[in-house]
Amino acid sequence: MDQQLMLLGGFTLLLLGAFVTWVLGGGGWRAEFSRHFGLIIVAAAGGCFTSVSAFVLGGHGALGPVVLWQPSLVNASLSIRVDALSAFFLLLISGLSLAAAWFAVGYTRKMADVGGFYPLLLLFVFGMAGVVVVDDFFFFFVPWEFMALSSYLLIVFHREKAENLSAGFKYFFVTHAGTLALFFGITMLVGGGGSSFGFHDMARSMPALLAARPILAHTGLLLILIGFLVKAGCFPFGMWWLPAAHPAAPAPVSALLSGAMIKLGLYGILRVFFQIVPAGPWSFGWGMVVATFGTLSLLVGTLAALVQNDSKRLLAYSSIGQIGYMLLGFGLALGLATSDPPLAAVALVGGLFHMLNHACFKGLLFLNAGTFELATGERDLDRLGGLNRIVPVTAACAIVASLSIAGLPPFNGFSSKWLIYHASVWGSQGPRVPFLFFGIAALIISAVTLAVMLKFLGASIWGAMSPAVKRATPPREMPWLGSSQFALAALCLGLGLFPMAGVWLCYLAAAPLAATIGTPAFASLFGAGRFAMELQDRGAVVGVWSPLAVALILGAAFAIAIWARRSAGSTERAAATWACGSDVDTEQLRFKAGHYYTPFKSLVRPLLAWPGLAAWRHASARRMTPSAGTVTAVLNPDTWAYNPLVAWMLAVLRKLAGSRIGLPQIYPAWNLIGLALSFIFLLLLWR
Amino acid sequence: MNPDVMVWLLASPFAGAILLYLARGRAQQALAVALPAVYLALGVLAIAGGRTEFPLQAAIFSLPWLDDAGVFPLRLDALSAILLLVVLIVGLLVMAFSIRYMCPDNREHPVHNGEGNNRYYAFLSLFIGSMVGVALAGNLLVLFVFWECTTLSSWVLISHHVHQPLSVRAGFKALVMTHLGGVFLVIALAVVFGLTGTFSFAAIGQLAPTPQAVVFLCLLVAASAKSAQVPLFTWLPDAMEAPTPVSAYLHAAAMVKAGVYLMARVILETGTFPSWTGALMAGLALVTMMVGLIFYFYQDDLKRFLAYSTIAQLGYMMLGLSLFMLGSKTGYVAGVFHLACHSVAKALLFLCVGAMAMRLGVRSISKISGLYARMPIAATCFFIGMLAVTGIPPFSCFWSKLMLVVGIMELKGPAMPLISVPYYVEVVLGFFWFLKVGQRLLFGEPSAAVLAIEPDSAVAGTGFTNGILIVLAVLTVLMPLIVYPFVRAL
Repeated sequence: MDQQLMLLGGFTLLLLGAFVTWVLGGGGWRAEFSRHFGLIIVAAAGGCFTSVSAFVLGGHGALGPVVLWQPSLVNASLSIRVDALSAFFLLLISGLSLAAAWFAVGYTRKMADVGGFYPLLLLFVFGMAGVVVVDDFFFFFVPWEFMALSSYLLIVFHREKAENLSAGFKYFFVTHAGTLALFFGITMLVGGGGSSFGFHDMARSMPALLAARPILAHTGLLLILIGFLVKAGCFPFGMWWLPAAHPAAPAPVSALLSGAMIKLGLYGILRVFFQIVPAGPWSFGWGMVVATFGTLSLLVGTLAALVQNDSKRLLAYSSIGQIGYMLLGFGLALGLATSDPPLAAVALVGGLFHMLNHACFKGLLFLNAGTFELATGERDLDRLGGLNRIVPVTAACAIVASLSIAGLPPFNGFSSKWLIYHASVWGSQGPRVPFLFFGIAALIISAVTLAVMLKFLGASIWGAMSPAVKRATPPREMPWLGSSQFALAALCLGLGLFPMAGVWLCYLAAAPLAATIGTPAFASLFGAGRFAMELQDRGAVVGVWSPLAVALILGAAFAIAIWARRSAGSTERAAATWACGSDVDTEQLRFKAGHYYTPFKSLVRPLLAWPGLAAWRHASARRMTPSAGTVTAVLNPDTWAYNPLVAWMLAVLRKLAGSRIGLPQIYPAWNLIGLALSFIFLLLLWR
Repeated sequence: MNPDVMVWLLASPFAGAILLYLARGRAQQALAVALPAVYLALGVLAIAGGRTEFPLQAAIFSLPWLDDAGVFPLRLDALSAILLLVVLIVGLLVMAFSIRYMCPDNREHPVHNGEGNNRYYAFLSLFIGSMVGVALAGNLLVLFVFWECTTLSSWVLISHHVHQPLSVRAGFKALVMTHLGGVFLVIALAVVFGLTGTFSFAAIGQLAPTPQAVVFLCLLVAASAKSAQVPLFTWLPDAMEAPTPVSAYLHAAAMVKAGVYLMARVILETGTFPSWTGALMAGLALVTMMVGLIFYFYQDDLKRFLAYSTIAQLGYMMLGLSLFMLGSKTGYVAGVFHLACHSVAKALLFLCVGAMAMRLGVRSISKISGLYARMPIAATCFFIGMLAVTGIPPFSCFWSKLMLVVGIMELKGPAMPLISVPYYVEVVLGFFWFLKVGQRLLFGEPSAAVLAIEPDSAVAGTGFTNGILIVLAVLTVLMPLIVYPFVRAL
């Protein structure tokens, strides 16, 4: 009971906070108050959610369902339920939103419209938390669209820029189209043979529906998958909105969008494909579909990130790539569900663990980019460089985040990717051989990710200082900004050095998905170690990953290298770049973001230039409303039926009126003829 | 509960019309707010008092030689209650909005010295009475009488600016086309009376299949003309020549719903029509939705754009009703629910356009942008209205559209994909254009026309209009809850 109150209290706090900050508005002390009040609210609500999560994950089982309202019109009930999976997502959302709100205290100091920002931020967190606790697919859409609406308003927050408006439009339109596809899919399943919209009822009726009406069921599932993939930002759907939307939002919101919101698309996929749909002959097919989407997404997203020059846009494309890794993990889990459930569990935990890690490092990277923007006013990587001298803490955090996302041991990205690679290689026997190629692609893309992040770091924090950076001063609110980033960086490193903690959490989170992966014991999958992960296959240890040992070895090697360098006694001297003696502006000698990977760019340029696309964009941007043409003329019966008909009738009447011309004596004649005709008619009727 | 309240409810707007016609100046303005409030109070009294004993019966008039029962019956049930609530709530807000709109500093349609105001208010009140009559009609004959009264009021109100040839022409066009529908209603009436000797709705159910089909088709034509469905929709965009509150009320919230109400009533009372009638109705509704959608993109006048949106949304309602014959009661309920949800949302959009146009003097989408800079409340309310019409929670049409999808998915056989695919296309593309327009209006770069006007605080009476808009915006959230008990009772 008290945990239920905690949960509802968290939601109430967020609503209350949104209301208070909205009523207060911006300006003066009120803005100052709102900035801190917003943080307190997010922290308090996050505390409530964390307490509930701890309760659920701590072995007390699921909380609820609490039925808040049950309309009799449709077979749905507004009920909330927190199981282990929801608890995991609640934890992720509360943690990241706390970091973002902490950062926002510093970020919003110079913001003009603080009174508009905080209500939306709090409602956005409200929507996200709502999505993961609703236990019914009809009411699922309320928080789901609430989240879309509030994040849309946050994306167009800086509405003075036309590109932000266009980004918001793309985001809202594309995700709404996806949401509708999702809703059509869900209702198809329920209308086709389900009893109600509740998750458990849907799960109960699913086997019969799959057996009786397979075409309907799988069409519905495809629509659901597409709907969730759109939100998750998977290729190709994510390309339509994500790279535009993430840069447009204020930095804390970008961090939340990329770190938490797009993962809720994956939450939906987990709910439907792992819980509602039981494992069966179809699992492998759906696993292939999901894994293929994942592989395409990680390939295209990461490669596209390679050629970006806008810091947040680069990170946004990289998010499309990283979502691919998670989807690959889930796809593998589905594909292996019937043939090798323990390995499926490893893949699923790998995907979930990558999700957790991605929330840490991608959230952190967006906060880094936001700090850079705050310090210099620039997002264009070409105009950055040498920022480590202005914001050293951020620079150090950015290095940690970059190495984590690239999956370098001993950082956290490595552990989760390793689980995914493991599942793809070990699970690739027989018809599942494509999994091997997916794994290889993911492995190669990991190196590309490193290239992307080296570009990001090289162009922003390292190298010579650009003019914009030379003018820059450290932001005055650096304690707020730096501490939030430091916390996330520490989390990246901590999860990297102690992966068993994260894996244990993800293993607990996966428990409600037993319909797909069964209920393997933790030790039979990941070994009994506390620090080292020992992957098991039917009792035999098939892989060991001990980050502490590796970190020790790497640290020792690093120390030796430094010692060797010192003891060599060579002197360093800093000198200006030599330009063959000619007098060149140092700015022209700087190695900028645009100079990275030029051979690759010239290779892909023809692929990106679609004939006609630019012309079409130009034409559509020119005019808001097209002028009426053939289409409207054809569709409007006025033009071809009613107006001609009226004109014809008028002409006939005029002709008849013409009979009045001539001798006045003729009029009575007409009257007589009319009277006579009437009489004849009446007589005929009489007979 | 004394059923005579219904008679009072019906009589009061007609009596009020006379008062409004005679009053002048301040007194007229005061009455224009007070009288609709009285109608609403009576309506609430009748509905709330009768809720436990639905349907309430009463008679207004008796002609012993005409009907089997010999009376002109009134009846109040859940379906009537939904229409009554819509008509009376929106009616009050629109009448109140009018007293600010019909003034000399209105740059869209300046009104000097209250010229024509007595006719305007009197016919608005008469219209409320006619709609109340349609809602309370206990048989086809009573319904027909009040049906034609709405046509008449609509003609007068569209042609309100009698010195403008366009508005006179538009009024005439609306009169001819909706009256054509009335003619078909008479034919249906004649067939039913000729074959059964009674005008009651239930009599349609007792007809042999062929005459029943004839009656259904006639009623469908009548409803299509009134509710601007293909092919009789062309009067509605032209009717946008009317003063904007009239467009908001007659051509978005109330009168065009009469056709939907007629079909809803007949389907409910008759029980079963054959399924081909459902297929025909659904087909027409889908074509209407598509045609309305295509016309969105060609409109530069905000009101004409909203008019086509109304046409498409009426298509949704007709589609929902048609699902009853195809085997889904949920779809029928969703259609009726959408009637109520759409009314407040569309009235809000129209009144926002009215508030903008009376200050800006233009209604062109290409000339209005970034209105937040000068009229933040009207622009925000327009955006809310847009979210409500397109179906974003927690606003009204979200619930009805969701229910409609549930209804469609309950269908068996090829009907489900055949209906759901165009439905999906219409919803997505409709959202596309609404968002484009709404975003431009609210967030875009302020245009020259917008920058030229004074901000809200410098214009007298803006607080009043903004207040009405805010009330309507709140209603877009509350309306589903208000009508929910009645929708559930269907």
